[in-house]
Amino acid sequence: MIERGLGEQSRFITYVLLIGRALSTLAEYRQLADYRRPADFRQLPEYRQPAEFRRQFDEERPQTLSDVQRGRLSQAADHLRRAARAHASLDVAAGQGLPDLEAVQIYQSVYEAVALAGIRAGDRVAETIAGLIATLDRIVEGAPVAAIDEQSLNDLERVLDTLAVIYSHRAERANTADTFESLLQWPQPLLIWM
Amino acid sequence: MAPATAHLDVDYLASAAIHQALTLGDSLRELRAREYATQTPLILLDLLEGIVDDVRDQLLELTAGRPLEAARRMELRGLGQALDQVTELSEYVVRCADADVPWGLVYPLELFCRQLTPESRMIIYPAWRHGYTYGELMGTLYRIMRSVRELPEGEFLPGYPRFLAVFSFPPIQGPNILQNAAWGHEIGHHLDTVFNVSAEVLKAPAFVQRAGGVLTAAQVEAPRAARAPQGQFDPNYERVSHLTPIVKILGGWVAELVADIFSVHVFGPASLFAFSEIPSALAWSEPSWSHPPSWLRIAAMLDELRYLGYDALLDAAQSTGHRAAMCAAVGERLATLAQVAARGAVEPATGRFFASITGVFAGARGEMASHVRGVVRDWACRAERIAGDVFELVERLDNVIPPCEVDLPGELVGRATTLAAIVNAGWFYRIWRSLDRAPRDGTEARELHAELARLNELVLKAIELSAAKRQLTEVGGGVDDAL
Repeated sequence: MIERGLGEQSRFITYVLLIGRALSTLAEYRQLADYRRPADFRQLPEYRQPAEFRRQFDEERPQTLSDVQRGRLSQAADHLRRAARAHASLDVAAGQGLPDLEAVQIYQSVYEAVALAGIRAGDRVAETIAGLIATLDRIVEGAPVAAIDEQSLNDLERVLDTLAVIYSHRAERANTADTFESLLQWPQPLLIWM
Repeated sequence: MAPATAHLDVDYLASAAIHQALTLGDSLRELRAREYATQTPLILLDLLEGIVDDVRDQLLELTAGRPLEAARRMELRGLGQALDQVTELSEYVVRCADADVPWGLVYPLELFCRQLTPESRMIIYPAWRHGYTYGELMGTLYRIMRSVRELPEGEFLPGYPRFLAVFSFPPIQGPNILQNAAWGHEIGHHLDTVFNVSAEVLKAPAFVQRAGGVLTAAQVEAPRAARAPQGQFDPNYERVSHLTPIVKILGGWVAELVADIFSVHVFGPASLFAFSEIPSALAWSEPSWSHPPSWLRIAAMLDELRYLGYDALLDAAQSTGHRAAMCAAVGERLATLAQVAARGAVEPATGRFFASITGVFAGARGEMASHVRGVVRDWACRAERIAGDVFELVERLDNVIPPCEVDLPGELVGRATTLAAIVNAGWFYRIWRSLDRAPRDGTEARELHAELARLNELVLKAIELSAAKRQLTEVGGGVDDAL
């Protein structure tokens, strides 16, 4: 018998980290436009005037995302692309080939995240995922915060946040995935067919 | 005083995770002081310690003495889960330290695995709950390492094994050395991991074509019930829900059958005999979610034995004396198993679903075998490789001498033999002397039990003597970093 639980668990943990880092980076991206953060003022020594702080902050604060930050968002975009590809292959591959299970798992998770986050950009989830990827791509390419629609950024954050939670739960459940319990989660029609 | 921040909960969680990393690091260092049968658990310890250090550094970087922003909580969650997994993995080291596994089981098997795949190391431990299992840990470890440190995809740590096989066995079978030939199947899983055979089978056009019918039928017959999460608006989700379990079963069965075929290349007929005497495998025609029906597995192993030349080896008509009797007994056992396989093939499987899947595999056996044969190297347990030794080793067993070497005329010290020859000699003797016959009463059962225990002891002794002899006589024959 093959013990698959640990491998699955580690895979989902890496997904949590990947998406988690993208979320952190998106928060940092938002801060590029927001240099009057209350936290910064709280940390400001009393003898320094806000105007001086703003000037100094403007000089010191990063104007764009670093390569590392862009890399993290790019990885998240690639992850969503994998889901989109799995979705596309399901449209044509029925009966012609075996789907890539890992990609299908990602697709299922992204689908659930989109549904649970209440995002609906079109009639099909593919359009929603494409929209999320487009937003990420624009940020990676260097679009300023002001150029990104606030709603798109909110949607992206909401889906990624839900997705990370889903992966986190899957990582916790992975070690029992090969047991009889997983059978109970199978679709009822398939069980009847058996 | 608590820091002035709106995200105290996240901050405290980060603190707890950092302390967990420090405690875990200390525990792993303490484990170094314990005794192990081989160096391999220490390799695992090294890697786990490295991961814990990396996670701890990342946690410190996240906080860096400032309140943690709420936006970073998912990173924190991932790092916390990585620590949890290291804790789980460290259990393997503890199991190795706690296990009282005979040296004769651990060391020769590790050497054997390294002979099969030099880039592999092995951990073996008794597991009460799961019995015979196999897992590969390096893939898991590298995945976690790559997400917590700069280690590009495709690069590996120098000086560390490429694969780390973890085998478990039921503790009740610990002293039952011959039954442990069932490890051949688990070693088969490891060979599958190394040579990627299952993945190739699943991609092969012929297999895809066979499986395609099952997948299409599942989609056509499964009604589109509303089981997707709330807000569902994509019919593909339903299709995925129905396809995924079937693809999982197909993948699982391929992996098991490939491991069975490999097991015959590893231990020859001993693998099949050991498998046929696992009590839980007795439901011959019943498949499961993870394993194909036993008759199909037996059929695949019998095919492979024929390919490796065992029909000719066991042709009693070509032998005389004891050897003819041994050949007849072992040949008869194989014929019985062939009948089991033939009977299973004509009995209908439970339910249309399993019948369809079994149909796919009954036709794909030959294709899977040819994939396996394509990667097998000079270690294959061909009949001609053990033919020269096995019957003489059985004679030694008959004279209550450990079958560790083959006598050379006029020489005090005999010629070394192989692990496969020793194990097969044990099985041939066991079958020839009917030690695994059904006892008529409790007294006979006790007698047979005692005889089997003596046989197992002799075989274990032979394995140990043979391994010790290799260490002492062959240049680089084992006294290296394995111990």
